[in-house]
Amino acid sequence: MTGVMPGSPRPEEVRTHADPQGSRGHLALKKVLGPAHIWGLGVGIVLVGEYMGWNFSVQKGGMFGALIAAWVVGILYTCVAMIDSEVTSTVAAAGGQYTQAKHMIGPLMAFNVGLFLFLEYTMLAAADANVMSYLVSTIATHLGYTGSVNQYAFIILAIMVLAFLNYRGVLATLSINLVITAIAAIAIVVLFLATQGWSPDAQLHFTGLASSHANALPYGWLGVLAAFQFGMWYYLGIEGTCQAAEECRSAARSIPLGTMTGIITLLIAAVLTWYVCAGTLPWQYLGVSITPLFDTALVNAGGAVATLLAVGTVFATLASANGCINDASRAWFSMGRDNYLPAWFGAIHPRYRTPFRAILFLVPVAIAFAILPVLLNKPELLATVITFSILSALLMYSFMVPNMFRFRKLWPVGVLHRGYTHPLHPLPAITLGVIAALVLFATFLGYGTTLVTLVIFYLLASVWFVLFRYKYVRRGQQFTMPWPRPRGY
Amino acid sequence: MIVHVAEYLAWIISGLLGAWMLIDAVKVSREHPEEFLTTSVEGTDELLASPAAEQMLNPTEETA
Repeated sequence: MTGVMPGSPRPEEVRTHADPQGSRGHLALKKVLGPAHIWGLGVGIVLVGEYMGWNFSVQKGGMFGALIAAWVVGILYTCVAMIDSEVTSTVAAAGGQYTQAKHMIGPLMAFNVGLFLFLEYTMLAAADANVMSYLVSTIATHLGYTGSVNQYAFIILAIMVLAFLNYRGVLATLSINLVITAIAAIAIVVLFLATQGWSPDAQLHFTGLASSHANALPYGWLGVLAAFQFGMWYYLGIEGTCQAAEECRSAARSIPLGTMTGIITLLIAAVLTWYVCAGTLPWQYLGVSITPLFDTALVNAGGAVATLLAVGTVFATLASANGCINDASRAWFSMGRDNYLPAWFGAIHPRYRTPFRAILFLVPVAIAFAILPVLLNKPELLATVITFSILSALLMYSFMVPNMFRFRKLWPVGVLHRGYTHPLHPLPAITLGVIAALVLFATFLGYGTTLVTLVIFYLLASVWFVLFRYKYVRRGQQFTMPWPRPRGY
Repeated sequence: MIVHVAEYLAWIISGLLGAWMLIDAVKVSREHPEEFLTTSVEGTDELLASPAAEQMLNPTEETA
């Protein structure tokens, strides 16, 4: 009999318990993920931005401003996905862009990129948990509850449950992410079908949009530029797929497939979202709505479709927080493993094969930032928390431009085996640099103080690293990728 | 009423999960030496594997 008896452990589990150090003589993260998990991770982190957040670009730039932002920022993220797919298909390591920086640029850049990643995902997880508690309040109100809901309880519950999932194993965590992300994505398509989106005159109304400049571009081209900042919400976080590279059965196959199908999904979802919302809600309302897709479903479809969109909103929020905890912990773990942070964080759980200390560390950090707007009774602080995330991401995209040039220079195509080679180099890198600069400028217009504060924080962190931490970095030992010697060295 | 029950449940579940993770982390740290828990190295990929890579990752294999 060659099959596995029902209930008996699979061969891999037997190997894990009998030989937890693995066949190579060291404890390793579990290699169990495929392209679908990578898709679920990338799209899962992002899709909440379609359910809420993107519509603030309507407030800044009007309906057409939001659409232009979706396209332009979509190009930025397509470049990010292409570049990440190529580089990470050669770097089967947790840490993603941090590991790229370590190999391509140097320790100080790597330290900063690691911090960008940790803050981007931890802040996003905190914001998601905060939104989750708001959704619980909204659901309670819809069910007839008139009192106030204790937001602290549900913020902490969301983070604890997701941290527990992450602690216990990556396969279950990202399998759940895949399922709930797929349901949230399908819900957007169902809304498009329910509003007869293929026939613009049936239920959707674009007449006012097309005929009135005041509705379409109320603040002109400056408004369009300002809309870029919130256009980020359509796609922010797709680059998180790279963090799972070390846990893929084959990073060379899974990362490009999962990332590229992910960005295609998001581009379609962004345009569908804009289309059904713009054809249903007046721009003045859409620009300030908290849950635009759900509101559109209530107005234009109702019943079961509205319920599905409510479920989609909750699922998208949970998937985002879940993916962010996964990614932030991998970035922190990788930095600990290389001694960029205390090596204590670089530990792997011998049974679950997860970076358990890094996961535990980010729990109080995420909770602190999630409850801050509630504690200080300043809901607007949520926007600041999210802006910390967006700005950290933008700084990281700026790093990706020189990183890509250097990667192709040191290891040209043909010298190093790539799972995916992106076309038209250096056009994607240059395009990424130009659009990232535009979005940084747009963000500076809206959140200049936050941007300056964040840059000062990273500068101080860099000084700390150079003075007190760099001496612990074992530069020779951190390069473990089986690559040929770089050209020119 | 249901909301209050849900709030209490949320606190209890959060407390239990947090306590479980902390206790487990302490237990694992006590049962295994630090050198063992922090032995991981960056991953390899079967599509990228080569004899040179194997040699780099397992330098002692040849001499054993």
